[in-house]
Amino acid sequence: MESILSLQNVHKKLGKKLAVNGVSLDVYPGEIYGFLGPNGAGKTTTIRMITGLTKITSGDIRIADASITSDYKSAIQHVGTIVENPELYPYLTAEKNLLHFARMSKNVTKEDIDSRLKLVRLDHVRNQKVRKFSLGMKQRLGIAQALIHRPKVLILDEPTNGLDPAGVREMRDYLRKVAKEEGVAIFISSHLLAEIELICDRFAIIQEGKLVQVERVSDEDRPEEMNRYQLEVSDLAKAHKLAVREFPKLVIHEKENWLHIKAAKEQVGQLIMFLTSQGVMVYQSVREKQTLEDRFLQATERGVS
Amino acid sequence: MVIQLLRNEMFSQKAYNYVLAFSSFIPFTGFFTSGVPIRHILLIIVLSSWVPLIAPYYERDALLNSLPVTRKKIVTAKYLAPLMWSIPATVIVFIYVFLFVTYAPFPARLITGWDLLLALAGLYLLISFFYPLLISLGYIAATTLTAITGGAIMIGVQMVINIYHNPSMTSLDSTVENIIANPNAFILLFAGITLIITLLSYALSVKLYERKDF
Repeated sequence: MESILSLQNVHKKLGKKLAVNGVSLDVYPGEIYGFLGPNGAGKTTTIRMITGLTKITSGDIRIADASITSDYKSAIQHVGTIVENPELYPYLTAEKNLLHFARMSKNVTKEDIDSRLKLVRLDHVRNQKVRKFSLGMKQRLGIAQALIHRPKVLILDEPTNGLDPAGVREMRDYLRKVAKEEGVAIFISSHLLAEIELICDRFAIIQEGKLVQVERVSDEDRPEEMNRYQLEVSDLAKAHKLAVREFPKLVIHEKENWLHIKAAKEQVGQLIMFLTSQGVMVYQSVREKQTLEDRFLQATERGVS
Repeated sequence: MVIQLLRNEMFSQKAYNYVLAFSSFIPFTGFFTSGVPIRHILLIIVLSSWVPLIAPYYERDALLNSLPVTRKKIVTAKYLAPLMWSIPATVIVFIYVFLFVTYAPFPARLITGWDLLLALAGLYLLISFFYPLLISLGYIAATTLTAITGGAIMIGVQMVINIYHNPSMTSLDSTVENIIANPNAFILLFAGITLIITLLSYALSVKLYERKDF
């Protein structure tokens, strides 16, 4: 499948500082892609470059195969966005806000406005002024606005900021629905790791302007060398000694009556067979599940080295 | 797309901006007129420039600049907006003056084409000063500097009117007399200079806006 959003060695200099340093990534249709990083890592700058708000110093961003630098209009017409807060006119009604945005987009019909208001469940307050809306309602209207011209890519910068748990859950549901039913690729920046874990298919971690990690959120498809296993054995000391001798390249240590191993699935199988053949009984083997938080901290502590 | 941007400016205003614009009748006419054309010209300038000067305060930059429209077109729309607003402004002032010409018990005259040209030139001189400042310094600085400069120009003109008969300033006297004797030539010259300034200002604004990071 061809990527719908592609960042190719993107750099951004802000004064003397390199805010974004050679970021490359691809996002595919229907995929929800998380963009993580500590504060000041370059998330918002990257998002501003994707949405055309900030010029790229070097590299390229391609959206639906159009370059944002050389074919700006073609590229940006496929993008819907909320950068930080939804850009709404508080003194206009919800419907007029959408109408106003629709006027500046191509081929948006009245039906599109109605369907987006329904999607975000604001059709019953369509004639209410936005200043009377709660933060969650504003965010929902922002989503409707970003989707009104049926973009292929939706870019969201901290979309759940300030939302209560119910609002966060609602937002998650809309985004999943849009990605699944309409094939919209969604690129979300956030520092709320639990949120990214719940909604995203893949995520990238940026630190000091550099991409330090790109992974699938689902543990199953993670690179094999990243998997950690725990073995419960009959004789821990003996098992440890044998394992280190037979598999010198693996990271193996004892901890709280368990043998901890960082290895590929096949290697774990071989190790179990070996231990059993040496008279060590293996009672159980458990693959450690790392939370996104663990992985984020690992990546950011490891840094760009 | 420029047309859509102009429509956007028209429909995204707060209603009370129009009321405030209309209230400029009070200082310029006191809802009465002495029949002096310059007041009507100034009124057209103020009415036409009101929304373009206020609108950037409410503008949603991130929204506007993430639309499928080039930044050059956004700037073009900004420079065309005063022209769009000058149409209703002229109609309103024309009706107002017409009522006075028809019913007032003192001599007055209708707005002429020369008056309109002078008003447009004044309007674009103001706008040419405002937009590059807005793009480079932001709204507060741009409006403050424009208001100060506009006020200074008006005070300066009034000072010239007050002192041009001064015998020790014969060159000023003859310049003013020349303008009074050939107002249309002065208006043409003024419009020509304004056109050049506007084009330079537009080019500068496009350059600044294209480089700007939001």
